[in-house]
Amino acid sequence: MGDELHNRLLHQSNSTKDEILYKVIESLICSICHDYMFIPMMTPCGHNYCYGCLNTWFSSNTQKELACPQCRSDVTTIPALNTTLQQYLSFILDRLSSEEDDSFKRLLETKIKEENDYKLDKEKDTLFEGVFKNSALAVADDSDDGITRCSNCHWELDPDEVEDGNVCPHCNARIRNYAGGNDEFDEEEYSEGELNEIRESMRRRREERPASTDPFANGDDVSSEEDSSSGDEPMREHIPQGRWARSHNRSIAVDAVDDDEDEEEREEEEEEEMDSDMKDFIEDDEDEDEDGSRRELVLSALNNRQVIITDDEEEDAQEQAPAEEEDHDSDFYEHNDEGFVSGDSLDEGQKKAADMDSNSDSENRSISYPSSNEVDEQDDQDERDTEELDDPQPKRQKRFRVVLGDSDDE
Amino acid sequence: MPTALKKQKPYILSISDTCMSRITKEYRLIRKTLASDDPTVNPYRGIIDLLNPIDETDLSKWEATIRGPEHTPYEHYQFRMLIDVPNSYPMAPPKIMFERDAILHCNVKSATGEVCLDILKLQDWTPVWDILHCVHAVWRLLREPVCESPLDVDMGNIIRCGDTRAYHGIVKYFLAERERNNQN
Repeated sequence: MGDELHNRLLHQSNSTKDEILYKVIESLICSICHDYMFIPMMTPCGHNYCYGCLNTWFSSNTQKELACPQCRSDVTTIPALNTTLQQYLSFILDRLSSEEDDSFKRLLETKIKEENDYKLDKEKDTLFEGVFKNSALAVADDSDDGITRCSNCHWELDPDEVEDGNVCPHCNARIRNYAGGNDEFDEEEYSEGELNEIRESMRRRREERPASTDPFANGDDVSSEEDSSSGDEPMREHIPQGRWARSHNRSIAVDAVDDDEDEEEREEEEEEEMDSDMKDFIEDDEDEDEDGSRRELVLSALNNRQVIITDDEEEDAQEQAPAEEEDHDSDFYEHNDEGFVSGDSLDEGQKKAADMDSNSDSENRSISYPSSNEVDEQDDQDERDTEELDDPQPKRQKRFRVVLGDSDDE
Repeated sequence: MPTALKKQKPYILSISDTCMSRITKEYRLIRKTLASDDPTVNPYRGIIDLLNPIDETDLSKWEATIRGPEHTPYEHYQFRMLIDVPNSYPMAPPKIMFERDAILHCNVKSATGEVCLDILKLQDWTPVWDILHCVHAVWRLLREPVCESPLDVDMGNIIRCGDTRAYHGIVKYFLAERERNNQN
């Protein structure tokens, strides 16, 4: 197995080899400066940039959370040096160095300079201007007071104050993720078209869910099924998610009208930019629902009219996805397993933890749900003991707990 | 905004360095791309007719000519745009303007040529975009107007009412008029 590709490569024509080589070298180019990455840093979402470029990017827009230039997901943990890419480039330079000329010399000089810059910052422990040290996540614990707080000093993050510079007003830590808070959501801010879109995508998703084979979507599928057990939840998932929805969140406190347009246009761009279809995209990014609570307001309003998932449907969905959950009963036991972490959910939780790491903040925010949920739950499943009611979210939430246990304590 | 400027200061030098070297590279790539006949290399045939610096010695001012998309009232017309690349590029977006009074579109302020497109706003810009893709994005805006955030409120309202015929009619009239004025 291990040398399958090696052997194949030997028997390729020169043009194929060249093509492969060209691709490899191209992957060493930073998409910010369009130059070689002598110090490639990889973000939690897996994109690589020069150390210098990323540093400049982070400090050039203090207005917003730290975001990956390519996929716009929050950069919640410090990017790591991608040594593999670094070694590729060094190797290539080594091999080509015999043809030394002026431009090549300049290349080497840049390399040395960038390496020194990085080394210096690393020794001084000021990588990325210390932005990841003096920074915090905005966390809202809905089971407590639901107010967005700074994870560093627990100071209340007023969206208006934070919006101005995205810094905690108390401890001055830069907020790494969206800190817009839980301002009232006005349903009218969604146009009729968007509401329809939400309903439509929700319906579509319910139909398509069992057929999904996308490994990344799986985890979310599970959660959406489970979520459907609480009358309120499913809608949350079906709000258009992802990059454009996120920016919608980000700026909704500022100017809702503009946002509508943002979404639309982003959508356009995405069509051309990404080949993956919208559905995958939506599913992948569900976890980024940073603003569950605000949404829920709209959603529960909607929900009352439109989209109550009945128990029947829920069971259907579960039957169609046996891989996810054997049957309703096992699901039920899982719920009642008060250790929070049953064997299954622990495994899955850990698996997920890596995926979610970059998003863990957003999960933090969506941990708990409005009390209306609990009431619904009670109606649905009387058998549950009262303790369970405090924890109406099934597996999905447990996973979050696992993640939480690993990362922060709130 | 003040915070951003303050923070940026130490980088101004390196930014303009990056800016120059990156824009030079982009220029090279754009020339190569647009000159190609191979549709896989150059998907912009019939979309972007021209994109280059106004003056070869100053890469901060560019001009572009795009062709109106098919099946829109803009079809068969060309639109010239002026692109201003700031010193902080690629950390800040390029400024793209249409020529004055040259286009009628719900996301363009006709009198100034200002374009309302999210990726061209600092808030939503990311350095992964380049000039070529920005111009292409503006072209797509012609094809798919976004009436929810109009710069030209009247045009936006017409689309919002669902009266595409009226929208098309007005745009066509405007462009025919523009053509006549140009000839005079």
